[in-house]
Amino acid sequence: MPDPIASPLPFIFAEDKHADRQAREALFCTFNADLGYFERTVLGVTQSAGARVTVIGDGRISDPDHRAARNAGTRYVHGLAVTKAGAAFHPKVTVITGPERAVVAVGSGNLSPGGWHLNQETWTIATASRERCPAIVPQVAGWLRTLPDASVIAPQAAKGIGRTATLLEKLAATTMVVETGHRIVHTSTAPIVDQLPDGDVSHLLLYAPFHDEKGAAVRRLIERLRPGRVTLAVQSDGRTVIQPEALRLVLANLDVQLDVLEDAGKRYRHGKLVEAVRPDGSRWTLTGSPNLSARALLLSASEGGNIEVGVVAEPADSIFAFPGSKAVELSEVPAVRIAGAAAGRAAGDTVLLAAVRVEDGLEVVFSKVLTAEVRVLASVHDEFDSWTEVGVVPPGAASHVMAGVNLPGGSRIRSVHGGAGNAPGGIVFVTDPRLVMAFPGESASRGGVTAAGPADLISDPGLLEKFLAALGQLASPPSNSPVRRNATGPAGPRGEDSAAPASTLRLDTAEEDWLAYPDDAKASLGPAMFRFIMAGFPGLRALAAEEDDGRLLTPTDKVVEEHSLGLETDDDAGAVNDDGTGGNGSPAVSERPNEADLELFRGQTEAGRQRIRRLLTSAVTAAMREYPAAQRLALLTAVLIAVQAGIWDSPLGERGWIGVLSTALENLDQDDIPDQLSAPLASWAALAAYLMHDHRPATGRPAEVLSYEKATRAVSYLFPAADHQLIADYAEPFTNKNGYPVDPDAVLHVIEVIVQDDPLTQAIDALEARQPDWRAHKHNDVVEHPGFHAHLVLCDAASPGGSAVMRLPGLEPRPGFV
Amino acid sequence: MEHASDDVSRFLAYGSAATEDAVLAGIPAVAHWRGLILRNHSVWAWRELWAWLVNEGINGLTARAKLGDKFADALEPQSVRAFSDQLPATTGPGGHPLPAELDPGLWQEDWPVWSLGILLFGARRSSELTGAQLDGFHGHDREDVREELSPAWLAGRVEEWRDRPIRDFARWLAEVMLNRSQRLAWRKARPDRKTGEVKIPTRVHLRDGFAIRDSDETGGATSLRLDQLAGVLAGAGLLAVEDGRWTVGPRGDLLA
Repeated sequence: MPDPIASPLPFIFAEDKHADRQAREALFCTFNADLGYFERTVLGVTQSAGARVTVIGDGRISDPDHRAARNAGTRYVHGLAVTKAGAAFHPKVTVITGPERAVVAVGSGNLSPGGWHLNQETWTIATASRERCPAIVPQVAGWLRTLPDASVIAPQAAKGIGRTATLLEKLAATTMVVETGHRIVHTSTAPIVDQLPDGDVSHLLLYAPFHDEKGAAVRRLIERLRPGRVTLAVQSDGRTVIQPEALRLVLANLDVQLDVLEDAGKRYRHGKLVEAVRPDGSRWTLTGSPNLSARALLLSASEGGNIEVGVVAEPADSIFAFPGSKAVELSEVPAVRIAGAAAGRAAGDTVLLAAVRVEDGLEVVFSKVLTAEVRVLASVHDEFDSWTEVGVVPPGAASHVMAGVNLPGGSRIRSVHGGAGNAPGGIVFVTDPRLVMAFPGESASRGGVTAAGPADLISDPGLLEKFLAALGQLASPPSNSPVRRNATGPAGPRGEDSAAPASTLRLDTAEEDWLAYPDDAKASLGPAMFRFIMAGFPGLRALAAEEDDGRLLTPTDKVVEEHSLGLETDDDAGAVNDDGTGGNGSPAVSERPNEADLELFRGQTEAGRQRIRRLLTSAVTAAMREYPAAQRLALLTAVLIAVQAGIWDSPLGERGWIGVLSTALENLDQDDIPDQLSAPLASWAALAAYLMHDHRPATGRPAEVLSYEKATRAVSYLFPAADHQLIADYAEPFTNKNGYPVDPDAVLHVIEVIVQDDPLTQAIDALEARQPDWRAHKHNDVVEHPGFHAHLVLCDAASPGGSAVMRLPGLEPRPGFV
Repeated sequence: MEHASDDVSRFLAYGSAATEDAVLAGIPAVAHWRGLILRNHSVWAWRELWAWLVNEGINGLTARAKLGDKFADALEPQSVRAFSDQLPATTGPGGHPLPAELDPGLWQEDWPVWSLGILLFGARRSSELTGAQLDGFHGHDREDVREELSPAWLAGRVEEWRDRPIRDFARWLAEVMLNRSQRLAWRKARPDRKTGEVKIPTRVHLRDGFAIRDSDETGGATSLRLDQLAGVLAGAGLLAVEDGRWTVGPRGDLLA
């Protein structure tokens, strides 16, 4: 890592270089956010690392350049927060975390070019892994847990905070937490000044770009720490906001020697530092977000203080570094105020925090209950300067669904309080929950096993082998691996360690729970295969469509270089050529095999088919039961696709596919199936049951029939969760034994028979299978016992008038049957 | 003709001969050039306004809102409509372009007033010019017509702000320019993957609501390269300079 550290950015690049995309959540807490900078510099690498992204800034100061922020609300959540007392939401905390590693940065720099590149800032950055986790990592998680109570936060952003905290807690719970001498302090529950170390201080060194008007923070620090000497640094040219006369009055009543240093360096110093030297020469420091102001240091959030986060550390050497500075008198320091400096809204104003697409319209969320109606203006697509009123929010609530307002994610919203002459508030981006919660890279066409869909796997034995090997890794994780299958309860997200006390692994909501599950499943299966098991080939097609619009949007500014020949415009690297290729000649739209390709696989060589059969059979019989639920389902679907692709010559016999498929179906039966996976799993199981039912021998009770019955009995309890539409989607490429498309109603009929577990119904079913031209129904509801004599009316479909009563042989009475 | 750039520009932009002369009227490029030259005034005005705003408005650590205030304070308190109405007319009889951009009264104003006046002329001309003149004025790329800061874009904004204070309009324009400057700077900036440091090719840096000037901006008009063209033609003998004035050269007959 570079020394000194400029920003968290190199650490995000380092996380990305692991190339395992383990990151799940990225959270950027900041006072103000330059979203244009963020999208150009930080967003891409963060999502490349695998994380979904949440940016939270102060709602009263926020007024983003909407031409620069083209992806807010679609590729990431831009959430706003305000404090209840009207102070600033001022933390500068960055977290990138997943089940394997985390980067936690606490500093002074806002999410802006200044904060991350140009200014002189302070950063404390901790990296955690499954081997070692600095103590400030769970401390930051603890601070995140305080935020919803300490401030008012846009709902989507609050969810991001919760997910991030959960991941940090889980990582800390499954690794060794080590003390590094750093400690998080914050204003959520108490003033920071009360959290500073006790003990004598001989020398206090201070720098911050902002002081409060009365010098109250400096005064309280001196009173509390009682140093004999204070060194205060300021920047030249009025770059430090300070009232020297107020400070002089403060110091006049304190018995302390003051030295003032003026830094004339070109770089703006935005870092904040309190450094206390003890009489023995040791020292502690406070860095992070708090300035030398009352709201930052002397008040808790509930008392009207800012939301601030700092780090107390005990460095061996001084970090109060002002080389080239010169000593000046306090009277020489210019008084600088920032009144009117920012376009922030007044503390009492109601701030529009969020606009979220919901099923029946647009939900707008304000910082507090509206006392008067508010007009809402919208600007959509590239019409950045065209604002249209989309509705009026009535008073009486802090959130309101504007029914029928259908604005795409990324649209811009502003609220106007009062009459038409009033100025609109800051811009808020419409959040599309579906898009911002998508697993980053879901549309990434990176190739390899993680991009493979079912058709890819069946067409390429080598790819299938890698895929199954990856699943195999999940079957036998090391003892401390986060990917162990949760065998004790439903819906356990990856990283849940059964050895750890359950109480330490906090999952706030079912949503957090479920989001972690597909994230992990996608990581191991790849986005295409995961989409396939959830939504079949229609889902895969939708994924391909999403790839078309999944790229980061960039500002639309046209640039004409004066020195370029003919004043030509810059090339647009993202342009799509007329021939459909991208600007670099690459395909503009990724291609993915679909169900139509399945027919092509029938041309697979016998050696290739044999290898695929062997791989699938081995995986099903050897390791499948050890897979997590999503991975077991993926393997089942791979077998089904192979069946349809003609990888097996016959359903029957020792080398037929019914044996493999029935084993795979039986293996689905585990107690770790999350609720959200129930319907897909049941629907795929139903399809598998139907195909076996359709192809099983109609006479006698050979091994295939017994396997079918055993397997369907094992999973019959799942079938009530089967969904007609899902079955229709899944069955889309499949044909029955006669070569006709699979009828979803026929599938439902088969599982109905299975679920009813009624021998008479099964007898009818068996009879009709044996005699396709016959239709059978019960003569009455009486079933005789013992000896199982069932009276059926049999109708020859070819001659409806004819009927006969027959006794069905071969059905054995079962214990408990009446 | 003494100065090719000035004299040719005036002739093509405002001279009646450019459209009434049988030969010139038959050359499509002449009409295109008229539009181009008129558009160039808007480009010049934006550059001067930005340079003035940066050089005069940013001193040390300057709140970005102060820039808008600086611009606003340079204007008389009135509505956008009133400001526009007091400007000279841009068309004469038959829609012929009048040399409003050369109005002596406007030239006596300070840069911000002059710049805004010129920009409003451009906004007007986006609906006054027609045909090839309008094509030259807008440019060939139809997507550029309503690009931010373009005359047609400004015309739309002026219409929206028509009855609102010109000073608020100025504050808003300052924000637009600031935002655009940062977008364009970041378009060319690249971070170092190892150090995280980044170089940003801009003279104005925004830091958390504050603006810092790295060096002075340079305004000035964008060259239409007419002087260079005249020099090339002189080298070919088509033009010559006599007594400081451009005349037809020894091979000037080829121009006919």
